[in-house]
Amino acid sequence: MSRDDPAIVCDHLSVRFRDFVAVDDLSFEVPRCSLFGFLGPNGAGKSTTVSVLCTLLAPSSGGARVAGFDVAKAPDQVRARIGVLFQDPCVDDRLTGLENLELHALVYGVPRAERKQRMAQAVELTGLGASVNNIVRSYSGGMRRRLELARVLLHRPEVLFLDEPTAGLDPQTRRNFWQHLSELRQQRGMTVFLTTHYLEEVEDADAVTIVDRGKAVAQGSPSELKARLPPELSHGKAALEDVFVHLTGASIREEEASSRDHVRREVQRRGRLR
Amino acid sequence: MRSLETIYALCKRELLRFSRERSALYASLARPVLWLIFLGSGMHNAFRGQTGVPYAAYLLPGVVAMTVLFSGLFAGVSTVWDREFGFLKEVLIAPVSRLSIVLGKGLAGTLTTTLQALLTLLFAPLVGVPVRLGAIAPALGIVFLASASVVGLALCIAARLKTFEGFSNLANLVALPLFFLSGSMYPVDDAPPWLAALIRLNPITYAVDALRQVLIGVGHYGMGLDLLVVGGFALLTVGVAVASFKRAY
Repeated sequence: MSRDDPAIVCDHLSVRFRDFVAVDDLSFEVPRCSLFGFLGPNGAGKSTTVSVLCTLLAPSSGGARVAGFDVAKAPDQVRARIGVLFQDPCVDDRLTGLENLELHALVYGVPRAERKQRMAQAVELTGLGASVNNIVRSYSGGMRRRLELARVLLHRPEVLFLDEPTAGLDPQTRRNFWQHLSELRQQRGMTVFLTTHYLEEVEDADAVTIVDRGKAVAQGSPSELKARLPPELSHGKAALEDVFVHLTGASIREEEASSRDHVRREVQRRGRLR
Repeated sequence: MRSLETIYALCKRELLRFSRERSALYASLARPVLWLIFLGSGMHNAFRGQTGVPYAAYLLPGVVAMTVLFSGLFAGVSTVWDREFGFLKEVLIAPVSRLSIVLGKGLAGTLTTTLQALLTLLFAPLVGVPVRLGAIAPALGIVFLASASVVGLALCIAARLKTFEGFSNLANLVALPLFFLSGSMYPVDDAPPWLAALIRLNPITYAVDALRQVLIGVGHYGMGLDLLVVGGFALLTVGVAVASFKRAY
């Protein structure tokens, strides 16, 4: 990938599950080394998009390039260059933290000579300390997340996908997670693609895309989006949350369970992901 | 090279999990007690077989085959489990071939199953069924082949059924007939012709027969035929499992 190529290009991407359109003609670009917020209410198609971008689900039409490679045509090239923290942690809870790290290093082909050093570095960066020698079953939710972050760092991804990484964590743990992540971004210059419901987490993102029902409804930097908000709604000092609610409506998404189930069922039928 | 590392990593993980999960260990020790003592001793007088060996000794290869069947099919549960709890995703987004993922899972399941069969064999003398020391290595070879075939079968099922309930129901439905129709509990010659025909169609029958030849020197088919059938069945199930996973993921 040349220096100027975007880290992620999503080009008229659509994902259809029989009669249900989860992602509808979605296009956006994420510049290298930026923090990109991908927002939307439940069932908007966020996780489906992440699944396509990390090669677990094939696009129905359109396409996407990640780190310079086509997700459908060169999945292994993409896989070698990305790291993913899924919505649900996927560490092996019967192994110790360190054993999980070793497993990841082996599967990603981290050179033997560098394994020990990279693991020690990742443990230090994520502040896991001595607990890395404990069985993961005994970890708190926040520690599991930090272990996943440490694991993802081992193969030095260019693009990091975080799908609601702090859901269900307490404010202290969330703050701690973001501190570790911002240190990492400074050191490594990674591109971060983030979906979240905590809108304050993307207030300092470089760009934000808000999706609803599979379509992009707004794109721009947080300040641009806030500037577009009608003055009578901004109450003088607008937050991204006001923009979000203005664009996606105030009604609570009843379709949450049904659409997610839909995706899950379909993904099962196609045999991908789950 | 990368494929070998993946296979090694997946096997190491499964062995670590196995070493920490005592219940698998207890099950492989409980099985010989239940079957060899409770059934073997009870049937001793009723079974005045032509084989010239006590019933418990006649039953041992069947008990080993049962360990292979149940532990091997259980290896499929671990795949369903991995899918349910997300670990499979961690492996699926890695830049490794789907073939090495299936072979890694398969070899891991085969190794843990063989280990459990070894425990059953080693425990048998303690409940009064002697096992010749020299018979253990060839028996383990047969067990390895048979385990590979059962684990392959389990992976075929796991590629299609995505829930624990679905998997356990089907696994039980598969395991019990395979066991009862394997000539584990009575000589094939004593069975009515229709039953004997079913037994001859069951690949597990040949694994039991091979084990019986090695362990007590009594056999029905030739060792060559036994190994051919068991090895062929292993190739078939693992091949279909690889194809199913490639199609599914």
